[in-house]
Amino acid sequence: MRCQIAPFDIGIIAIALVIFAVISIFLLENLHIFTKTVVVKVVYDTNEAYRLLVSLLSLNYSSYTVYEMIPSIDYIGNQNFANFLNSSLYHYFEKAPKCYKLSLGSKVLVEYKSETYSGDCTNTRFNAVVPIFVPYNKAGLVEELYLNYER
Amino acid sequence: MKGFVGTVLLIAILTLVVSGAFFIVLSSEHINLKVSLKASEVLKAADIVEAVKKGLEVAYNYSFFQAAYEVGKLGGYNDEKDVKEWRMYESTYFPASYVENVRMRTENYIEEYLKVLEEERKEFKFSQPFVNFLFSTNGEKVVKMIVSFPSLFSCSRHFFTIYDNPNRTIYPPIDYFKLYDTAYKLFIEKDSVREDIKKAEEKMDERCRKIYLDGVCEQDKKDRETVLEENCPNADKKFKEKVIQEIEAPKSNDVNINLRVKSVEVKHESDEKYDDLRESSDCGCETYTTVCEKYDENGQCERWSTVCVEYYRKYYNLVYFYSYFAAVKVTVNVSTKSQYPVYDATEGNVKLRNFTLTFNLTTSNDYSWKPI
Repeated sequence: MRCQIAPFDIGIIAIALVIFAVISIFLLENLHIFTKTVVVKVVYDTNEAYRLLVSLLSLNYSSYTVYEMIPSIDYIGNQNFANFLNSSLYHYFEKAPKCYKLSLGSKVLVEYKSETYSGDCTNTRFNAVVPIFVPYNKAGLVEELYLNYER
Repeated sequence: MKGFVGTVLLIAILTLVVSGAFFIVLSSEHINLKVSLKASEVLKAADIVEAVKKGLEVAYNYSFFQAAYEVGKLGGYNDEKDVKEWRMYESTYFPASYVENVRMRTENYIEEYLKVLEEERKEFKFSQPFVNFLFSTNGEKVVKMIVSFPSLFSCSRHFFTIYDNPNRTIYPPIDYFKLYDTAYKLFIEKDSVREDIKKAEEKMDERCRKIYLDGVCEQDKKDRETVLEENCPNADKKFKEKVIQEIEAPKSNDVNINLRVKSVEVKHESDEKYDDLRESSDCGCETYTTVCEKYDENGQCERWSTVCVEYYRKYYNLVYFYSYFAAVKVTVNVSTKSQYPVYDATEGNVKLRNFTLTFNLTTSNDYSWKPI
């Protein structure tokens, strides 16, 4: 008995191969690209607050860097510096954020809340915390600097 | 019938192929997600490391500020029990090891900063820091503080470790080293306090230093102390005030110099000079003798008269001279014009403060007189 493949079967196999090729080449590729783009964006977003905080610390304010000014704010007592921080943070965002808060330990350095925002700007989606060195003293040499904001 | 079976078989194969493809897609997405979460962790850690790297230079500076402030307060010495007066009359004791003292303290403070970071952020690990100062003069004095470590610092999370370089070159404020240079020139190379005492003496009233008496009969000549008291009452007290005023006058060039007199002893010595001392009839007679002026017939003296045989002497151009001496113990404060954030143990707080080099010295305008 001779084994014969019907033209219909060949057609089915061909369609299956075409679908497989389409899935493998296009769908798989596009899905990869799509999800990777989404994931990369998510990954990028997760450290956005960190990037902002590191950039902020690198700014210069008069003869001091923001890094040096932040723990010295008590004895330098400069309202202009608080304005500088507010302006630097506010203009970082493309449009007005819902809120932001910059705190050194438990002390709030600057804070902003839009009229529509009702929270305390603590458990925000965007947040970062980095250790910073403070001038020598007996209480502690490293403090945590927190940045929280909500777009 | 055969065609039907073949079709079912092919559809089954097709279904397997499609679901296989989706399985591959989904499982790879799952892996992607896990990789992404890890990537996110790495990115966050990299930013924290970046913030710490930015802070290292600041912490090294703070360490230098604190070390320099404390060593300056001890007059360049490392320990309170080692502190010596910079000058005891002609003998000087400059703390030549002040740079080494600042270096050691800076090293200790850097270590303290890094230990605290390691305790608060367990993921960080630093090796032992070494601090070295390099001085060079290129027209103007330049100081470099090299902070080096035998190995890179690390930030370890559960699946990765970031290594980075903690070595830095810091340019500490040159003002601090000028304090020592200035103090050395003023109080070791020369004795500017001694010069101040001399200036104070020169500024004493003329009649407190030199009293012209011109022609004075010897019997009227008063002792020098009495004459001084008549012409310049409380001369020693006046001199003491002038000495304190002269020494404590604020001085300033590149740095601020303030001296405070802790104790002072004064004395004066006197001398006299005259052009001539000879008998003068102006001064009256010192020794008389009686002589007969007229004799009677019997050869007896009828009228006696007294005749001067020796007159009192007279001082011509008599001048009394007074020299004043002071011995002082002084606290010297030489401070920078700029301020730095430092902790003061006495006040118990951190503030912007001037670096101040504080030390004592004892001197006088006559090194052979050492009352203090």
